Amino acid sequence: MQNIILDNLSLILLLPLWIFLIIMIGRFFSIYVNKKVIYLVTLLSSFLGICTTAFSIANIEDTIVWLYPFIKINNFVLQFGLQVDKLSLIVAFALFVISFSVQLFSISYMKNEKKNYRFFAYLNLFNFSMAFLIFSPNLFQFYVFWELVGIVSYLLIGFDYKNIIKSDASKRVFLINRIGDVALLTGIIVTSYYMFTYANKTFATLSFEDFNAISTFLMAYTSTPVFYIICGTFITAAMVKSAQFPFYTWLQDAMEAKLPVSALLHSATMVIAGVYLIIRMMPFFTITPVLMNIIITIGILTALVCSILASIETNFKKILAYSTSANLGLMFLAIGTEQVKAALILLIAHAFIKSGLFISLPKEKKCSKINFIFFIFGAICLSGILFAGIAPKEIIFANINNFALSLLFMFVSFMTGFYIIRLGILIYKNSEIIKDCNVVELLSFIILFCGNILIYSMFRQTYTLAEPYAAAIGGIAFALLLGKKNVIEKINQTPKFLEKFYNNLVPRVYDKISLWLSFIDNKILSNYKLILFISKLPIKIVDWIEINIMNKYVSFVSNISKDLSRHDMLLQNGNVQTYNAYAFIIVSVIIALMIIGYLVILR
Amino acid sequence: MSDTDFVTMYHYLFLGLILFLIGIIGSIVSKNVIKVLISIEFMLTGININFITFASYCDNYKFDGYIMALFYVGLGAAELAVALYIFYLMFQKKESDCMEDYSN
Repeated sequence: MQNIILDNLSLILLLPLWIFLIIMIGRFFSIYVNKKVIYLVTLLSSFLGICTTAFSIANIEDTIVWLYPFIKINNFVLQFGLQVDKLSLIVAFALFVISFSVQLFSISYMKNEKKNYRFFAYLNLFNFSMAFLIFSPNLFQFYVFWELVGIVSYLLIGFDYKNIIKSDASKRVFLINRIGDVALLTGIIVTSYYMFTYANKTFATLSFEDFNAISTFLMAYTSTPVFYIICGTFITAAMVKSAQFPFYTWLQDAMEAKLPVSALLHSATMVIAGVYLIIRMMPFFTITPVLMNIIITIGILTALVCSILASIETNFKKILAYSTSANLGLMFLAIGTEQVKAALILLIAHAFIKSGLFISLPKEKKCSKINFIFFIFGAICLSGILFAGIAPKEIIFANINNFALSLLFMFVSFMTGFYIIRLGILIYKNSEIIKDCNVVELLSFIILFCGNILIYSMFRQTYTLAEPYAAAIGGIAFALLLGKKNVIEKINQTPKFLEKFYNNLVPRVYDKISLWLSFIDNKILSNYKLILFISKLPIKIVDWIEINIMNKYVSFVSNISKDLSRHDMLLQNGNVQTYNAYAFIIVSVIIALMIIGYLVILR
Repeated sequence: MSDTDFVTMYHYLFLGLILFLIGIIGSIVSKNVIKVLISIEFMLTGININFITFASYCDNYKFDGYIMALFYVGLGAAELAVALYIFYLMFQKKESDCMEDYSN
């Protein structure tokens, strides 16, 4: 029984891809699948994913790897497949639960939207690509699905492609994500090159299982700066995908997307790909304390900056986006202090809590009572006082040795409590609370909170530390105090230095470079006749070839067809009798040929 | 059907061929629609003669060829009726019996 399910894991992971292809290709050939069928099949695929991953978590003991050769170049065999272990199964379980509940939510949310079949197709494509990213056995497959996830994010943000703001936002998101993609690709190519030339050639495929050996080999065969640069490319990739400090602006732009997209991609599942990459490649970073310190710095810096910005911002979704960046920063911090388990627990707990928070945001300034209660519940979870939020903060805080770092961590948890309750107060004041609620949406909240409590019960332990809770409760109290005095609404200007920096940097640098190049062109090169002649020579040759050879050839062909058609026009005079004559001639020729052939065969 | 017969099977087949060719050439060349219809009947007759020739010279026991020829005569009559009706309608429309006026 166990083997059957584990062996057929790939089939179930491939289901969303088939659904995507059926919906999109069917539309291409104008075969219209019934909407209810689309909903049912989409939900069913995620549900099957939940069941199989849960079953596999219960039954798996060792790492299982399936590999299929994909590209063969001499003795370099690139393999695609699945690497199934506890880590990937737990993350995939979280992915499927969240996507199930978000799909359930989006059925009611996207009900009146035009062409919402496209939305569901993209959700399915996302499920597929994220699942294969999680289960990928080597870095090459990881890169492929990393790109695919970015593309799905682009497609889903630009779902209303006629709205110019949203399509621009999607382009910005995609362009900033490209930085990380290029960094990851560079790292992969350089590491693979070093492995292929200097070390064992089987390591060149960068399988995740061999990473202990790969990191020691890479350390041995390259000089230290080069090793740091290679690790830096991987860290950069993770930073961009997980919206860390210099790059967190793309997550703000991504908030132009629909609510379910924000709940699924930009808070819970897609952004964890960077953290997941670092967790998978831990041997690279544990080898020297410098890299760990870099990761800690990035994490705590992001957490600080983003929590401060979140407590100034007024847009609901953008507050949650800043909070996502801050929590991912805490994950980086946990990884940097070698607490991979804490990072993993925080990752999953944060995924459940944050998607619940996104889903329960008010729609069109109307917030039903139950939504608001769920929101406050999730907010208290996020600040680390209830259920799933407790364990990771506890573990992280217990393992920080540095006094300044623990102080900063306390400050971050204080800010977390502050901004999330501030958001609750903003919602309460800016939107009207209504009584009726949607049953389908309620069901999706309940699923997410079941996941939340499940995580809590799985990682429960005795708690001894009081500082993070005290800080979080202090933040909540501070927010409530400010909310009573109506101070919160007064701030409505968010500093956007990084956005301005990105908007100004690229065009200005591009202008400068092109100005210099044109200067070289006009002032230096154009004054020498030889250079002019040489630069014009190829153009002249090409012109001559075009006029004397290409044009004549083309006109020759066209003239032939013109003449033929002129003669043919005389034959095609529309008279029945002429066609009758042609038919007679042709038939008699055929019969004559048949007779001749018959005679030849007889002889 | 002996070699001493003056009129052999090939004479009849030749007659059929000649009739068929006359029909075809007439239907291609003639300008008048009635003439074309007559030429088509010539072609039918030539084929009919082929049938009857083969039935009388090669098949002694069955009457398939004769029956086919009878059917063919009936078929020709029916076809001609249809053709004449089409001609009647076209004549009403074009007011001419020349083939070239019918081409457009």
